[in-house]
Amino acid sequence: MIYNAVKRDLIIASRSGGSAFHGLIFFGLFISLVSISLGGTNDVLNPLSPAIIWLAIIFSTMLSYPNIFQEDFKDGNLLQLKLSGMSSLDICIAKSVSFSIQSIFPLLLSVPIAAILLNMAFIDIKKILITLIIATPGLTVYGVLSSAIVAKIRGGTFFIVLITSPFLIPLLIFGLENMNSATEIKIFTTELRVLIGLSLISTAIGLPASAAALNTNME
Amino acid sequence: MISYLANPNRYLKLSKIVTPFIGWATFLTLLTALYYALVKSPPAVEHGQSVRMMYTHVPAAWCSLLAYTCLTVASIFSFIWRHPLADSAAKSIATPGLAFTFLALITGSLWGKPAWGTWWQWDGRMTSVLILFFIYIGYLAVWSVVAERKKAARLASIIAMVGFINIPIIKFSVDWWNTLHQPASISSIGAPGLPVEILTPLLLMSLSYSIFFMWLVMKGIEKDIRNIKKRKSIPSALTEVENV
Amino acid sequence: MKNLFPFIKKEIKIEINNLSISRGNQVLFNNLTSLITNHDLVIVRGDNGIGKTSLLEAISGFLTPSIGGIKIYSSGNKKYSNEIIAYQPSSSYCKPPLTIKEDLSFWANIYSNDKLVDDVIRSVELQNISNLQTQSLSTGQKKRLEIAKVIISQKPVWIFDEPYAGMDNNGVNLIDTILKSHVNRGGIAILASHKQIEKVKLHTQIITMKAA
Repeated sequence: MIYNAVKRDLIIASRSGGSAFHGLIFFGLFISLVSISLGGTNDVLNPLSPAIIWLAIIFSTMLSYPNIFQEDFKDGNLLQLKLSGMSSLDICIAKSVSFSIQSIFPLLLSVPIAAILLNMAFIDIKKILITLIIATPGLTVYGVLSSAIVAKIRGGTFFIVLITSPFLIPLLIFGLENMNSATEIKIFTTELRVLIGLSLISTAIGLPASAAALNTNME
Repeated sequence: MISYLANPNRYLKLSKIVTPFIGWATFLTLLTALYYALVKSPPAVEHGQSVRMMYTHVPAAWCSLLAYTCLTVASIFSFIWRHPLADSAAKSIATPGLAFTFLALITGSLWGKPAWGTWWQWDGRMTSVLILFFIYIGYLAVWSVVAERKKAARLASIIAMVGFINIPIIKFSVDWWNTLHQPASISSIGAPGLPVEILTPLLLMSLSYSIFFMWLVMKGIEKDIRNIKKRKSIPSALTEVENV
Repeated sequence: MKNLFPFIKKEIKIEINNLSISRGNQVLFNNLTSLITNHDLVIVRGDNGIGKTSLLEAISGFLTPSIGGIKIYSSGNKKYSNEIIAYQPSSSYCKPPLTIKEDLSFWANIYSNDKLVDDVIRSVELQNISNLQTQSLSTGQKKRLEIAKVIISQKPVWIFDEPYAGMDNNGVNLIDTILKSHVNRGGIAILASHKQIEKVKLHTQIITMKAA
């Protein structure tokens, strides 16, 4: 069932006529605006580049959060999925997988391009990709949770940003700190281990909480 | 005892008697505490009288954390047992909690200027309190946006519980970040071995803040219960079943 | 053509006991009691906004009643609503970018009835456009797709919210035929409608909701 649901979501996303690109375009615009406003010189941008990329990813993902459940709440698909015997937890797992693939994966693919725009060293590009991949579960699950809570409220984007931002801060901090302490040889720094732990904890808490929120919104 | 008090009417009767006591207790402890804080305790060696700001700042920060813990307990009750009183309690705890957090931020800022020269420092403690402030706002946002009360209560309790697990994580992360980026210049007030003259007013102020908090919560629950009672119980439709 | 309406051997009972439903702070109705079993076609009648949808949602298990309850039994065993009930809401839940066949196949796969897809599409007379994306469909065509989903779930209890809304005469006849087949083989159908339903002479129970 989860496999079928994920497949359907991905087919819908691929035919949605470009709305999958909204996140990517925002990512590019964010980086451009930040670079322009900071002056555009390498000495200013270079030390800040991991932070700029992390922030671009976080804001782009937060903007895609409302779409996770909003349409399914509005058109009644969630109701039907529950009637078909799919548990709320399964629905949340399916949504997490499809959100990672359709929203976060394209962003990760654009990171090397953004890194080149910011003149990052190759080793740094590797480092930032590893940290982002490890942080992906955390980023996904908190989005699923806040989208499940906000459901079909109008103007939900603001609340999603408000609710999720505090929870994303540890991921941000450890993701960026890892950039400083990881080297070519030492990949598994303390920060990376903590980041793995954070992603695991967030999944362990976030998925049941999202399932509970879905149930509440469908009562 | 909790299920005994669960009946909102019984709570209202109890609250009528108990709340004034707590109100007076607040008044008295606050008076004593302020006396110790403002008059009897000595001014700090370097910073002079401005250190007395600590007596407003530290108890406020402490109370904001106490409030969040109470909020989590109420949310657990609300989630597992669907207790209507727990819902009222959670809502009534969050607003004073937010207020104490805000107070902690403002007093911290006012203290910081004379003490260390800046209005704000992104150190571990202040950053964590700021994040806690946003968590409170997010919590109250759920209550204000969701129309149905029971749904709002349940969704808010989910957020509160997830937030509770995240707060130690956030504190840990921010302290880690702080030790790497900020020079360790802020004196840690909570260090053991504080002289009695400073400790006493600090504890007294904390006590009076806590009692004040209790009073605010009880008053809030009272008000909330009175608001719920306005339910329309006359049905809008009549049904009729005909078998053919 | 496979038999899309196999006979239902199990005895199904839906007991509605002293039901009272509220929406927000407003009580919609009190004291509704009814018993629905195999071969029953129940029509819930009433004006717009009176609470028909809420009643259907309560029977389907989506709305928790404030007083009373709904118990569902199959051959004497207590069942959850999602095991027995197929619910068609008043608006379509098809996904716009999918074709009719893809949309139906998704649900067919969930119910493990993928072999029936082509036959079901034929039974609702959509076989000529089965590769058309659902965003291009008319209201009537979407309704037929929704009915197809109900049929393919192969569940014994069908609940429809305003099935005739927006249907032309062909559509209405189609719905009537399908309902007849379903009820004759032992199924239960519960429909909400604000229209006067005289065409469907096989209704066995009418629940009327009037303004208080």
